[in-house]
Amino acid sequence: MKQLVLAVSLLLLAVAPLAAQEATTITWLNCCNWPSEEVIAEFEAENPDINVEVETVGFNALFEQIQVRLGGGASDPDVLSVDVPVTAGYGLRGWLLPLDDVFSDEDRADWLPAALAAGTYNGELISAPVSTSTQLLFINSDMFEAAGIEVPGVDDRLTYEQVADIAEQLTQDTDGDGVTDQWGFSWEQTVRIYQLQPLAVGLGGQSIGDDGLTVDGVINSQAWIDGFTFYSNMFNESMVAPQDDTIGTSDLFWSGKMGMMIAGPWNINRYLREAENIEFNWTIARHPYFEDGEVTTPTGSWHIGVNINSDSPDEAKRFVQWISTGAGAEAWWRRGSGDFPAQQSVLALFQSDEEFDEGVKYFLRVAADEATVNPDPRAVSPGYLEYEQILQDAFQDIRTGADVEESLNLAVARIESEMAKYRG
Amino acid sequence: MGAKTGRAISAAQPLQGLKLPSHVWRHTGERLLIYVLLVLVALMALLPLMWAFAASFTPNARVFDYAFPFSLRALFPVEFTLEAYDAIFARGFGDALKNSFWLSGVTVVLGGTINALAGFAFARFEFRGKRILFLTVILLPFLVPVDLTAIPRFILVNSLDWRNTWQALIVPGLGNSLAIFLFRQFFEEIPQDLIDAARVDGASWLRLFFNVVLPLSRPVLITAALFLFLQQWDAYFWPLLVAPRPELRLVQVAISTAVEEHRTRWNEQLAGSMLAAIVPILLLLPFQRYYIQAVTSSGLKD
Repeated sequence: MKQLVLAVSLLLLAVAPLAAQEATTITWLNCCNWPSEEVIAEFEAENPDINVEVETVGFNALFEQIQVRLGGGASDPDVLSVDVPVTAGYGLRGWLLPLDDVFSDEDRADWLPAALAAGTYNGELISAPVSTSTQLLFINSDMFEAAGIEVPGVDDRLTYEQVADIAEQLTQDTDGDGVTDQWGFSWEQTVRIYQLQPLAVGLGGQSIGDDGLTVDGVINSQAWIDGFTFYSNMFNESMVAPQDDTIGTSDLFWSGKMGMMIAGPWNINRYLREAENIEFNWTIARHPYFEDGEVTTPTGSWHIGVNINSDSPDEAKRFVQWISTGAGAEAWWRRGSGDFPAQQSVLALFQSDEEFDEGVKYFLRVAADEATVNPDPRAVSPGYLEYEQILQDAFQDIRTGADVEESLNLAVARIESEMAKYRG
Repeated sequence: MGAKTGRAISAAQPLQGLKLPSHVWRHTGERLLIYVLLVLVALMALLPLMWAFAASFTPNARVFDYAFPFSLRALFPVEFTLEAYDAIFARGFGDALKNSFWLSGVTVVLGGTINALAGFAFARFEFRGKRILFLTVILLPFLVPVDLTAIPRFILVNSLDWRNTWQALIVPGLGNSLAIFLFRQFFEEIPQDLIDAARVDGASWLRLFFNVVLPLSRPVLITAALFLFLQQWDAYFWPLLVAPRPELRLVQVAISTAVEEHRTRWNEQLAGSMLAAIVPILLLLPFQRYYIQAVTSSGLKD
């Protein structure tokens, strides 16, 4: 008995300093009101000496927050979610701590090569890949059948020309009041380069010059003009896509008012949450391509980085390491953002887990495979935010009827002028 | 009292100016046309609100069923449900409402006092640098976008270690150039005789301010209070920046939590917006006549 008391006392003495040690609190600025409680609880259970406080803001607000807080030299957030194309810009400004000492060669080998490359600036890894993405063609099967059009299989890949042809047949004024109330097609992100880049790259274009700054001769090349003439025609000539964007494409599709949309697999999760109120049959097909072009798909998503001024860089790095690799990465995909994981070992679960064998979840397996089919990352440039915003203006103009070549040339002039400050 | 009547008359003048000559009103057809136009304009303003109200009682997936193209059916809930309201309150919308009320109330009391005193000083005192101070501190901020000063203000608040505190929300919102400007314009119109009489009777400046000037200044007081209240009630970017902790979450920030990365819970966002809009509407409806008076009239005449 004495021995037992002694053993317990010794154990308590050994544990006491640990118990007395206060946990370090780090803050994580993340995006879009992702559900993070469960994942954070899992991390904290495994790392009782670290508390993670989450601050979550909307997509646009995230960039403003980072701009002001890191630009102002604040020590928090310790950890921040980074939209992958802005990595270079943050690297140029010296806002992120290099993470090369955090990850093993095994960790690096597990990330999708495009994601690892996109998180690297000047040879240093500054934002660790967490998620990746791809795009699919979503199809309202009921609308196809009503129009007498054969519904494509989930592994079929239509050409853009076929999409345009079918969209014309689906676009209708069903109640005869002179106003279109059933649309054939649109892109989910109608004016964002992320989703529209395959229109140009699939025809042999490039997203930006090799120096990450030049756009003249690139975004006004013949491939871009041809790709965006197709885009313009969908809104302005055949008018199968609504010019008005008051109501978003995915809201129109899920209201049963649109036959097809190119959209992210997150729509599958959306359906799973709202299935009881969605009354039509739908399916997916692979991302379209031009008849005379190459298959190419959008990619890239969220990375995670550590604030260079963090007061707790070691704890911040441990959290970043946990959530971007192995079990943490799987937890974040399953119970966090739901975005596709950027780790090949986690991505492989879509192919091996029975959960994805059938039904709507099988579409996620197809999407996971599509994410590996010639993914084309967005431009890597320190001026990415300016590049994206100016292109968005150009696409908006084209969508509402402006001349394609003129709009792209105007974008060239504006982007070149913005990039001048990065040319040193 | 005479001064009060005089001010009321002058305040009514701009409205009188809107009256059309009587012979116009005799033409019933024209009158009808004007009413039709007014109803149309009112509908243009009200229809989106009516749709938003109906949509807040609709399941999220059905929100756009009749909205694009728009039909009148969209003005009624599809499958009436309170799920959006239940959801936002479960996510802490009630606390956000309380926080916004507290912040706006404190700002009205403290900010109203400070701005009124500043306006009085600019209107009634002569001091060195008065003109340049008025131009740089009061008028210049009108021309500078708020976003431009976000970084220096953030650095200041951060260096004071005020992040995630009430003072980070309250203090920067107290001084309001528009309110000071309005007070100054209004106080300049108060007859000098009245001020002199009070001073001769031995009133201190503070006593004169609180007992003579303020009772005459109801329109501008209410207007400034509305400005200050709405400025804090509508605040979004600044609170998100300096007080992101959930326990300090304000109403506009709470509404924004319905926006996810790839989806918006429209019915919840609209439910939050409806509740958030009720408060300014309830404030503006009874007080709008004072608001118009203060903005359109420059106050008392000598």
